[in-house]
Amino acid sequence: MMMTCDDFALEELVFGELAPEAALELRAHLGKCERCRVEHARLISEQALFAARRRDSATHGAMGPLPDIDQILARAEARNTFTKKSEDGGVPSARGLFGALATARARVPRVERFAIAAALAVIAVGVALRYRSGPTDSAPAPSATAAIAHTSESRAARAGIAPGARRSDFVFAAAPPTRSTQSALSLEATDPLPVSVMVVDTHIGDACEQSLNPGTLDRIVSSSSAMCVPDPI
Amino acid sequence: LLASDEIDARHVDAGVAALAIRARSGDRHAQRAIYDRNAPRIHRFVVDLLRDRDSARDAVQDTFIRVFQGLHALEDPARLVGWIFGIARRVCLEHKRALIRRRQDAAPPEHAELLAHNGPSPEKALADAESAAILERALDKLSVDRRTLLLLRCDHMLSYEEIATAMGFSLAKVKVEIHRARGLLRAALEAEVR
Repeated sequence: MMMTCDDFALEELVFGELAPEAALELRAHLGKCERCRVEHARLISEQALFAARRRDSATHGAMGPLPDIDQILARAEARNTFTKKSEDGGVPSARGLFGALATARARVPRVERFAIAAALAVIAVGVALRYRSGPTDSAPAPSATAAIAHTSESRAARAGIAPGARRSDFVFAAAPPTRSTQSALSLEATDPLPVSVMVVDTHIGDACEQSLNPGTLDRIVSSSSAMCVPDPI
Repeated sequence: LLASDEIDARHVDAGVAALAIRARSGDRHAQRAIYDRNAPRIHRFVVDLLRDRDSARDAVQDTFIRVFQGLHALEDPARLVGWIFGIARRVCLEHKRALIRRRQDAAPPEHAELLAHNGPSPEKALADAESAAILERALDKLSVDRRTLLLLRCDHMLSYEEIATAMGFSLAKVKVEIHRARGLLRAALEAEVR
């Protein structure tokens, strides 16, 4: 059978991935095909460059020491324990919730993700325009900034946070909730503004800032191990 | 062309699925074996992506914390290596964003003093350094994704399937993109040596 030129097969030959019979056949083809011989030689010289690069890294000790495996295993175990505790309590932790969101995102096809993103963008623009255009009666229309400030201040007041606190001055920590903090952060269902929160995993000491919509925030606060405290920063 | 130990390492990976299954059931020896086998090349990979040795060390640590934390979620244990590289790539993107936020310069990795013993001859070392520098400059002209694809294929010698897992691309896309990246690398190399 006459073999046709196949660059991928040539690469597999250079990488030692080709089955012995196929490799034999391809080598026979190389003896007859000038084009494939040239391509084969180029692949070999390129791999030689990468090999030189690997040796150079090793020779110059550019990598430095590796992190301690015991520390890594301990931290992974601590995180798993934290996640498991949250799940056993039937309560989604903030981290678990983000993980679930990430999983859900991975399961939604890319085209549909774009469609969802576009729909959310349209809603966001609509909300912004509503605040900008204001009501039709004679009362002065509140600006978007004023609306944000009002929402933020009312939330802050209900949460016992000093006036003037930043919108990100909410901290969620892994601790039992109190009735007052739950009610303090019970947000208006109509509030469309995302809330910036600092999510703290006290078991590990990791923290990250996340932007949540009020519905999600409400669910975390009303259901879980979360507690709201003012950000000391 | 390939060092025999590199080829051996690829064949050893055939047993990686069993190792992953043992590791996710909590076998500490298996977890350590996964780390010992993969940490050095993941370290090299993240140094290549981040160009910052301190960040690279943190990125390796974060990568393996996520690996051991999420092993139970790995659907196909045979894809362990590609999966680890995929996590490392995502961790690097996060660290890169953090680096940019801190306005740190992405300086190339500092080279320590030449090791005086157990290394190649000075002539060989010099030739390697020159070749590495030419390749580095050519790689720098590629986009991040294409550079990453070529490093995964040509430097870490992952299979196309493993690369597809690491990058979250289809197998067809990986083949096409690597083919394109190789063409661009050739053009960049020719420009370098002219």
